[in-house]
Amino acid sequence: MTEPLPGGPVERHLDDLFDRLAGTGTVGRRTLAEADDHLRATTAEGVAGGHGQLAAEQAAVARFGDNGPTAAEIKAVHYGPWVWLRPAFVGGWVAGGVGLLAVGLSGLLAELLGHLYGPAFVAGDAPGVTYTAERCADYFEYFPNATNCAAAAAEHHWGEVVTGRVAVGVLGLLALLVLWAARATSRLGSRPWTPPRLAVAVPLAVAFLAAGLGFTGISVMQLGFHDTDMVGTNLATGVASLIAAAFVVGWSVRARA
Amino acid sequence: MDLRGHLDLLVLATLRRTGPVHGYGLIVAMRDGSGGVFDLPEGTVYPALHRLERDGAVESAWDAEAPRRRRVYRLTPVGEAALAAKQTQWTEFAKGVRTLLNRPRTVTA
Repeated sequence: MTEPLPGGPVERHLDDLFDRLAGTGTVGRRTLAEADDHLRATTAEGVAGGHGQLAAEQAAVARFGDNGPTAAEIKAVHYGPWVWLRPAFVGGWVAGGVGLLAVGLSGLLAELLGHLYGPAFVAGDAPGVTYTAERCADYFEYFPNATNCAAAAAEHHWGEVVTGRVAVGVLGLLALLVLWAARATSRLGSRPWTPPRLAVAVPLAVAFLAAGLGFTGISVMQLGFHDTDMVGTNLATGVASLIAAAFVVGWSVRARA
Repeated sequence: MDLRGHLDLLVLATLRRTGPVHGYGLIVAMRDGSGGVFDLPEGTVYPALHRLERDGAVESAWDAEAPRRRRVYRLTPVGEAALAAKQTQWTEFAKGVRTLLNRPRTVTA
């Protein structure tokens, strides 16, 4: 197979494509190699058909068409905003769902801590807080067996903490189930929509770890200083975050194995 | 013939027919397979192949046995499924167009 004419139509066309693909790295080199192979094959076909080299190259370039739309489309395929927006959407959905699920887990832990150490441990108000008679009456209406107003308030707050967080967790579970169903039945499950696992796992694990260490540290300090203000809630949040961080790390390690 | 909107279907269908093939071979197969009707600007097939590969419908690799760097494309199971779906859509569309074109002219008084 003959080489393209030096400075001939094929070389000029490849130079033009090279210029138009500037800055596209591997994608550009690949496209250029494909175009090179293509133009040589078309030229060879023309020469085999009885044309001279120059005429065959001119015909090959004409058949290949304008480089402008080709280069623009190649850039759009590999670098357009959708390339990262689609996986970012799914990744955000997963991260949001897992985050809400972790909040739900902290609600379950708050329920457990309340049974083990009492409602005041989970959701007791700060020492010295006073309640108006009206507010106190409200608490006693719901918890008539409480020994005093602070205990009734703690029972009330405990219920709010647990119910609210578990509801958020159920919402997270639903969000993840909807995503799972959507990915199983639609284009949402295809490769362009799928984020790299580490791109989801690393930020999530870092966020959970930071929250876990922060809230657990705060609750330990509170215990040290005998500060009972929401200590159990903080502890539940910290432990749930650490469990979530461990889960996310395990999930990403399993995927790499 | 303007093939915009149909190129993916034609590329996938041709790949199914030819098996693993490089870009130039694909274009030749598409042109010959259509009796010369689909004679598109050949450069346009590469962005389509790259897009289909990005979407998981085709996969490609350099042909180590070729005398120069040559990328060979093949259909994936995702591509097979996409082709089946596009083929159904196209059949329905063609049926609708045919029905419309063949309707007798309505004469109004």
